[in-house]
Amino acid sequence: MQDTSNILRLLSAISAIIFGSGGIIALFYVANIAVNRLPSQARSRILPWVYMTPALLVLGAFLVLPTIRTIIISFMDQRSQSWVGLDNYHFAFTNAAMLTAFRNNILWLVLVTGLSVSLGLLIAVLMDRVKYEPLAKTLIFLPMVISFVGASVIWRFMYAYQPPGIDQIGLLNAIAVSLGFEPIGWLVNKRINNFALITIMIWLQTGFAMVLLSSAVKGIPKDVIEAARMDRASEFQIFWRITIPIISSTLLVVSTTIVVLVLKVFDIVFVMTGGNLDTEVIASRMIKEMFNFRNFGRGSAIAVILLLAVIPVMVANIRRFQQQEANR
Amino acid sequence: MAHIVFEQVTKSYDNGFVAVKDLNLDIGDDEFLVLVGPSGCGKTTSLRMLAGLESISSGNLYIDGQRVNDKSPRERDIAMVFQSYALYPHMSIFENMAFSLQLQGTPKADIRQRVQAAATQLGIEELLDRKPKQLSGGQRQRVAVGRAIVRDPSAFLMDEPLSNLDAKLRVQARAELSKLHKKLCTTFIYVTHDQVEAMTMGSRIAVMNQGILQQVDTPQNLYEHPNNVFVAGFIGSPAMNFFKATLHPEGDALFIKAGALRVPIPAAARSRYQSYVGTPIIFGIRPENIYTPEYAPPGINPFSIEATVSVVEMMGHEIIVYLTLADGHEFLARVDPRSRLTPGEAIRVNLDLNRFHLFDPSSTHVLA
Repeated sequence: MQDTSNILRLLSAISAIIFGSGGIIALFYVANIAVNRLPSQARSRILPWVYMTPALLVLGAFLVLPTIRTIIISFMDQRSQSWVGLDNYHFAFTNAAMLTAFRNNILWLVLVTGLSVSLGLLIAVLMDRVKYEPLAKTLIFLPMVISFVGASVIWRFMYAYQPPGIDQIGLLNAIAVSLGFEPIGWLVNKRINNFALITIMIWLQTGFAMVLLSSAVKGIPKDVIEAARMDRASEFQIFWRITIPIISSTLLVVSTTIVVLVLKVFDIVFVMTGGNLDTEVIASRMIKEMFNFRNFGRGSAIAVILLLAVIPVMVANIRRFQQQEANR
Repeated sequence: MAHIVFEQVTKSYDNGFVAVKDLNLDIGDDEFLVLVGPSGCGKTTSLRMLAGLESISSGNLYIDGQRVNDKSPRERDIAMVFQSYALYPHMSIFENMAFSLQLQGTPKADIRQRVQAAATQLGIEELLDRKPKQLSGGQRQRVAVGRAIVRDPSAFLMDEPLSNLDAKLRVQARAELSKLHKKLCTTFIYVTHDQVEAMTMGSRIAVMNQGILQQVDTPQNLYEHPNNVFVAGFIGSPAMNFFKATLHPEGDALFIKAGALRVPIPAAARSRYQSYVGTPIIFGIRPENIYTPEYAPPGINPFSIEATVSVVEMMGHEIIVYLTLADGHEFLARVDPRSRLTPGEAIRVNLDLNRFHLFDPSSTHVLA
């Protein structure tokens, strides 16, 4: 009985893939034929739309509409039945738990972005001179392929805590105890638990920053660095005045990508501490309001705040991109 | 101004490849020395060792009497112009030229004045606010030179700075660099694979091949008295014709025999080659020392031979003609453009026996 239902499920998944992607291909194929019948002048004007419309429709249905709806709901009460004005926003910016979440998120933003980008850059520049570069880089990049939840599970073991006197199964506490210290409650000590969580994200993102920055560093012509050397620049001056400015656009892209990722972070907090003990971030707060407390108004307001926080980052990114295109 | 001495300088790599072997070279204060040779001959490596960008495996390098083997580029007071120009892409032209002075802590007003002066000298004043990518190849090349001039270094190193320019611009830039050298009166060391650049610009030329210095001399002497087969073949275009030959005595006279060719050695030179009788030699003569009889100038020592015309290349100011001897050996001649030549036709040409070269085929050295 169990077997047949599994097989059925597998079959329906396969057919979904076949009909789903086949449908898209058929759609474009038919649309292309239709457009090709049009007079050539109209064709060049209509053709881009033919290819873009399906994507626009999907984006509209699954991104734009929900966004608009979220914005509307954020001005309504718990059950989305009556208008409450800015109450939900007032809550978001005054509630103690929310303020903790904001504080934590700023901590996350500054530390994760700052440390993973600078560590990534440092490793990228240093690795450039190392013999076993590919191996070393692979090791550092490896965490990147682990999901946030997976990484959190790994780090739960790293941070695991047993009361003094009992064998420590957590790596960090095992080291601490063997060195003669008391075991540390990494995730329960309010002074360090946020940093313990942030460390996980840094561990995950440094590899990403390193790979992108490393390719940017390698893209700097060797001649330019040598010219700077001939111009009597020290290695330190070369780093600050030649390397950094030349890879600045990559630096910006990497930083903004990590900023956006950090703003969305939720899984690590959810798995490690469940947001308890002052470790809440905005996104985990949003999930709680929305699905634990069933307060759609507040949840939506927090979502809108997150969205607004991301916008300046995206604007900076797009503007930079346009500049680059213009300079080409 | 710098007096540069290479003493037994060798560059070898971990994989055993020797890029430069036992280089000895003494470069005077205000000399324009050209390092020339085919690609992979070690000329660029030598330049980079002098710049401090490449370590020296063995031997000594002196700048003004001071051993600089272990000195970094910044301690050598040398400027370099790269083949790719290597301008800093994120800086304006002004900043590019000012960069080195800024690092030295030169006062701002001083920097401005020096950059302005160099820009005026090179005719790039109106480009100072632009970025490198907004410039043409010729303009970038000037900026690269400007960046070097501003520093007022004791020596200029140039690594094929003209090879990315089109032919017309290259001729112009060649003359400008020569003028610049006269004006600055500083040591220039210039790397090129182009023997025309070498001949036109160098006050002395160092010819390298396979990591070994072949000969250093003035352009004139290199052309007239090449030390060995490589230099003889490398300097001059089209290259010198070579024939495998032997020396044969006939009575008092001495003949060079190369297949169908039988050339008498002029009486004056005879005693010099007497000892090589019977041994194999290489006979070399430049295409420009072969004349069509009608247009042979006075003052040569003509010796007429017969050959068949195979290809005629009309250049306008001269004709390059591919000739074949009766034994099938092909050689080139650069003859007067008025000469009437038809492919397939058998003609007589005059060799100028005042200007031939004999080499030892085993050592490839010239016979003295």
